[in-house]
Amino acid sequence: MKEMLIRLQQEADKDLAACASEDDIFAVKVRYLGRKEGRITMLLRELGKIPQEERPAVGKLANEIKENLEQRVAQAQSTIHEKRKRDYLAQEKTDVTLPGRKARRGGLHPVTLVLDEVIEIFLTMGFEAVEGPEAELDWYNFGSLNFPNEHPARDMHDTFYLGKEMLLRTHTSPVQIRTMEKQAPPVRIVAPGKVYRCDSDISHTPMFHQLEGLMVEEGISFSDLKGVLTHFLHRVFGEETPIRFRPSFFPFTEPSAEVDIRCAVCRGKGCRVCSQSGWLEILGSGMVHPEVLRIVKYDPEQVSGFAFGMGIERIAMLKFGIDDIRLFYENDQRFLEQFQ
Amino acid sequence: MKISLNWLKEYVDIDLDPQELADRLTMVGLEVEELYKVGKRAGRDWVLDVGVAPNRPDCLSHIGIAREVAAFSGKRLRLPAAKVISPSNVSINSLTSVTIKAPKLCPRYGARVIMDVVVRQSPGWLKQRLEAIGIRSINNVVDITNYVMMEWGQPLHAFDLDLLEGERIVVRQALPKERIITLDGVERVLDKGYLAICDAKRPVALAGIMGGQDTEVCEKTRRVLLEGAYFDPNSIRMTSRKIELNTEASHRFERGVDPEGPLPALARAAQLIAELSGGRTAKGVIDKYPVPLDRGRIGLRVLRVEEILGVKFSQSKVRKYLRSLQMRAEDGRRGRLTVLPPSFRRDISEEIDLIEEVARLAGYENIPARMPDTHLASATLSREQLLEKKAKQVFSNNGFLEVINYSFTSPRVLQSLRLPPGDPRNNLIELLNPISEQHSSLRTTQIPGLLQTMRYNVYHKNPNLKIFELGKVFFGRGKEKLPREVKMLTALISGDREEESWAHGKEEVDFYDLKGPLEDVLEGLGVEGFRFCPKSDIPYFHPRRSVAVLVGNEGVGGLGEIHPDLIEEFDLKKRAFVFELNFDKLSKFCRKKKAFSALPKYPGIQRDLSIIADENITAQEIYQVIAGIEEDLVKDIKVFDLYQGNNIPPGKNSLTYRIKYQAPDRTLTDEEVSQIQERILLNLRNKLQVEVRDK
Repeated sequence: MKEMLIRLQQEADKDLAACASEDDIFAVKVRYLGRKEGRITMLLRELGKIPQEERPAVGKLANEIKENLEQRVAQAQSTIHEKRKRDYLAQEKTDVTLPGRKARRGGLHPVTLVLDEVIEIFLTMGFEAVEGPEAELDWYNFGSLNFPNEHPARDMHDTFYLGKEMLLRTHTSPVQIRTMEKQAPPVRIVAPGKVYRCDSDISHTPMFHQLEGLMVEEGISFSDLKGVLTHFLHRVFGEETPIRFRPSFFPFTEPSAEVDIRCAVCRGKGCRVCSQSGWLEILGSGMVHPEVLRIVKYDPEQVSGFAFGMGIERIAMLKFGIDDIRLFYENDQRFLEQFQ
Repeated sequence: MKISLNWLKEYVDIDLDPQELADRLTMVGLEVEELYKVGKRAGRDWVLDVGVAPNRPDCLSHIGIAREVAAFSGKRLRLPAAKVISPSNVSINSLTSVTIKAPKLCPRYGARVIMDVVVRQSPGWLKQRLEAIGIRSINNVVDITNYVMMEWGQPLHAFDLDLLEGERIVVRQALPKERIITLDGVERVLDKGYLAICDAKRPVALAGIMGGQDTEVCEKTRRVLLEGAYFDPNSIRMTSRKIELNTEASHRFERGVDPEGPLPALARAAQLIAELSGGRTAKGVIDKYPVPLDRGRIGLRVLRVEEILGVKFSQSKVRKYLRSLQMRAEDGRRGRLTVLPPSFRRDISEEIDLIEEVARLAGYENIPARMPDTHLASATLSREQLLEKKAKQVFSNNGFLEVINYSFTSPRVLQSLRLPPGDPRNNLIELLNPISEQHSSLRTTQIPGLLQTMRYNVYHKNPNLKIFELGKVFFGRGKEKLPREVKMLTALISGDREEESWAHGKEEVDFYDLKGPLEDVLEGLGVEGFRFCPKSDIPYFHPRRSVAVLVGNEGVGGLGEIHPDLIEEFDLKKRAFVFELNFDKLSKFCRKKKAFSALPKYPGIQRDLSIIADENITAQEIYQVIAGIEEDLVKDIKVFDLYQGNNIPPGKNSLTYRIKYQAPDRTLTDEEVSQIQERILLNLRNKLQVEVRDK
């Protein structure tokens, strides 16, 4: 028995030394130590057959040989495992300077990006975003907004007509009226959307986007208008951007104000972008004209409010430095990809 | 309105430099759009190009601007003498007469006559003045009428009195088909409703717009009849628009000139003409004013000024501002002022107009900005807006670029879709005044727009496109009702799946590259029960590569490969895949809330099922048979292999399905699953005659 054990040990040593892979080692392990057919395991099962007095010594030797073999198998496994790791680390050469593999990236249109940003700012101030029809009645686009028939104020809007009383809205202001007709004050809305004017050149496209805002409730003054719009413009263009309000004319607001921001290109010195004025017109605004309030059956003695409107493309042009408005509607991939 | 600085200084002292003056004017609402130098040495001048809002016709003159300068600077206004010095003894009434037959359209008509004029070149100073502001010099008489218009804002017209039939003026509506050759040499056919200045026989001027050639002042002219009038603004505007003729005169009349303007302007012009032409002004003036234009007094509550502007002004301050604008402002009872605006301020008719004047003169910069003293709770987007945002996000995440096309299309472009006669998309709403044929109607589908966008990009060497658009289309509902506006979600892919790279080969996109993102967006929006139904009769799609998209039994759109005919017609050069969905309809089906379902506690079992089926049997049919066993333990059915070729008989597909089984309350046994799998196989064999493929 003893001799057999020693021979087994020697054979196992030889086999182990000949191992080239983890699989070989595993085979050796099974061959000698396997729970069912392992040669040492089987030999140990024979232990009961030897005389009682020899048993402890042989048993001890057998266990020593077994443990020893187990240990060496484990060691060989670990050695070969480590070697394999070292090998593949050494072999797997990769040119890490090649560009990575990536999926094509999509992106939103710059008009959407700016609209989302602008709407978000007004949402935080409690303005809900509402929409209205793009094809409108003359009444909502002009009449109800205090543009009399045959009035030169209409010249400020080159209108596309669909019929005698039907047109493509020239501004998003009709949404003011539609909202106030449906809802009692207080009203706080912004109305984003497409508008249309029959005009087409380097600074005009026949369709563009506007965002109209309206706040009507008790005790709203021009001072509030300045506060809200100043806050808004500082959020969009930066807290340090100088802003000025100056008198202007819109039939549906009075007093009316044009709002300018300091030209970011020349910082107010005067350049081509701001036509030498140092300022850039960014939005129109004013206190809602009492006649408009009367038209929607609000009492101008009870409530007052302000309205404002801005061109989204214009803001996008200033934010991103785009110099030709027509680019927005050519939808050139190379243009659109710049806003991802 | 171009303003010469030298000229302006005649009426008011200005101690600001030109740029400062421009800034101040801009800040009182007279935006100086341009400021530039003209002339040399002694003739050096500055020109301010002022954008005058339509409600301020009173500022369309040098005196008008000078009034504003005087108001904000506190300087005195100096008006030129408007008086005829030493008129002749001949009375105007012995020379001519004026009859107004249309007093509503012509509330006031004034005339003066200058005799013995010598029409010749204007002196240098006059030419220089006019040229500085862009007016061409013609002769001394015409130049003076222009000069006085630019000085006072009152348009004037000079007739050769000897060429007027009957040597008199009749103001009346034109008769249908009456004709006149205007000063620009164009013969114009008049219509009823046009206001005409006539002599005894015929129209000699289009009132307020342009004079006629026949009675024009020329070198032979000896006697001049000067007209200074107030015409109804609406009438002038209507006529000017109808005949498409805008002039300096019509621009002022349609905005409303000063009803008190004609007499001083006539006197000023007559005196200047007499001086420059050696003539003599007939004694007296004709002033027909059948319908006096009343001005009412306006009450102003000083407290109201504060309510609207948000800052307090004392009564005396308010009164001072208004008086500086030549308003009569008297203190009334209980914090009220009674205000009478000057005749040239016809824009001022109610309290708010006065409040605006106070704000303007106080300076908007002196009104403090503050946040509204009210509860400012934040608002949220509506459900529809959130869905839109989500849809855009899903596409963007899938590598699509958002495009925005014009809402316009044209019948010609729509025609290329070959829609059948009854298709509602054929009924385009046409614009009455389109800018081009290409943009002559409102779109009823976004597909042509995306094809055009593709063409643009193919031409510009961007051949690999993944784009989408979310916008409105328009369907007419007759002349009375506004069009129905429907939001559509449309996408297009074309070209290579990925940008060519060392990392992967070049592969062109196919049908499934668009179907995937479509499924993704439908799932992302929480649309339940959507399905696809093969459809071969969508005229703009490849007949074997198109499907209708349905939710339940409602069609919401279609997906397909663009028909090769359209590829040729739009000159796209490559295959393209498109879908268009009715987003409004779709959003009705979107699940409102996300709900959590507990994660499984017991492991599931996956089994693969390989079958050979006739190639005409669709994946959906097989899916339906598998799912048709209505077994709760089947949690997921996926086709993960599709193969044709070696070892598979021609005309057959080899398909492998992976079916996932799971029970919520226990670990499934192999036997249980095998039994279900057997039932599935039996169904497939019976219903679709498929074979099981050898493992």
